[in-house]
Amino acid sequence: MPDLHPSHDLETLLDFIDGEGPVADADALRGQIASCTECAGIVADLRALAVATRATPTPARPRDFRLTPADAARLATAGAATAAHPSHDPALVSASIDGALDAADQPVVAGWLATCAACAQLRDDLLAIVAAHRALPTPPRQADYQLSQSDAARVGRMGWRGWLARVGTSRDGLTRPLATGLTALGIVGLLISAGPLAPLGGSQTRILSTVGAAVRGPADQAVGGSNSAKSGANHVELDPGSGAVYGAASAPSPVVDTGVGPVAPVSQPAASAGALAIASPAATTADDASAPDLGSLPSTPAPVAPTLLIVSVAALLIGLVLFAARRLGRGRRAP
Amino acid sequence: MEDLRSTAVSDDPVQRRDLILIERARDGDLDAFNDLVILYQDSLFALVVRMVPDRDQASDAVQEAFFSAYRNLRGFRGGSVKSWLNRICVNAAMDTQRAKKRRPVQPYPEFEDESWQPPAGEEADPELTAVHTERSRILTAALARITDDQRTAIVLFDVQGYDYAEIATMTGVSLGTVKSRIHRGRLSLRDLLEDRLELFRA
Repeated sequence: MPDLHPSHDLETLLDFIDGEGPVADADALRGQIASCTECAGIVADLRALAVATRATPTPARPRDFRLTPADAARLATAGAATAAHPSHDPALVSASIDGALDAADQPVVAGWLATCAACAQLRDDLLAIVAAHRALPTPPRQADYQLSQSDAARVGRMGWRGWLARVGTSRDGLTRPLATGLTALGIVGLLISAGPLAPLGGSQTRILSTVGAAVRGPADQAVGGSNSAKSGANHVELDPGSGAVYGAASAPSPVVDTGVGPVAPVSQPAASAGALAIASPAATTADDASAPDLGSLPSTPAPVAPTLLIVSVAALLIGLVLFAARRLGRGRRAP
Repeated sequence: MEDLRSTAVSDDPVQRRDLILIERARDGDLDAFNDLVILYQDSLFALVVRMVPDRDQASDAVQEAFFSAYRNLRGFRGGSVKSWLNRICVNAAMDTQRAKKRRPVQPYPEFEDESWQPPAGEEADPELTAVHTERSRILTAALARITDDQRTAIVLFDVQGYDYAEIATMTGVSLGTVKSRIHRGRLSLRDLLEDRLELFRA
């Protein structure tokens, strides 16, 4: 007889044993059981198992489950008492175990505890948890925390040495992100200052020339000061951070000569002198009266680029100093 | 130098002893400071390890607290030395909790550690010991699951015995916040232990 079992549907077979399968399949299944020894064995085992299960003795009922009148009364009371519980504030019940209730709340909570089974249970549970918490064992201490001489020397350092030691500790969680942030800000600020995004069409050249003006020192400043003095109040009002001040302060310098002509005489209005420094050469040849707008350009406050440059350099330097301090502090740590 | 004894309760021999040690430590006597360490390191570790359940981190926090105390000896203004050290330890533990949030570690391996459980004496009832051990285990696990702020408030109030106002000062929050943390923390614990409360009611 060929072994057909792998092609037989075991689930259908189980349904047949339980009398749950379709009646139309019954004859086919009977034939399957008769022709397949494995299926016949499975059916025999499961039927024996079912018989044994039905024959398992039932344990004796431990008690009579009828409700007594006392049970009924208790259940009725408890049901009524806990019905209002959702409106009771558990935080006040918690506060009541600390004796920390306001005078106004005391009678309210006392009423809940007297009439609400859920509140009373909550209080009992919280008391039990607090007691268990107090009884929690403490794990053994892991180390002796006495300070060694080197610890004391490191920790006790005052002033900049103490700051270095603290900055160098691994637990110092501020210095590293601060240093990283300041350095990044500094770099970004420098890039912006030197790039095309610099305000007022600022360029690297203008920034560098601004810095150059500042670096050239008091001699030029003195000249500029005299020029300013000679050129009147308009010159004094020019923004020191703009190209205008460069034109004003350094007018005698060859650097300012744009090649389109001499620097405007000191008697010329300051606005024109300022325009000479940053505006197109054409502006320098224009009549003062015909170019009022160009004259107003340099007088527009534009301190952003130099300010950004200075702040960026400062941030970068502070960030680098913090990095260096952190490294030095680590080097100074006691072993 | 400021005479610390004049600003503190001198009738208490423990307090007097502590103040003398502090004063000597301020004069540069490291042994005197280490005497204070020996006196209080157990209780401070017990405080911090409940706030920071990771024992390695708790140990680091205690060590850092003693460093901080030594560094700030001149900042001690009299009063209870133990309270002063406790405050420093609470701050160190809270710093550690904040750092733990930034750099999470394997959370609380102590749960399966037997040394966290109460020791069983030879004469102890084995059944009772088992109940206590299980109670401690599940309570510790539940404590680790409430928020750091709630756990800190509960430890300081229910275990250390500080009052609301002292906890507010220590943790830098309002009185109402302290109350809220304690009560919400307790209720959270009860919710977390809901299926095992029979162990605690026994």
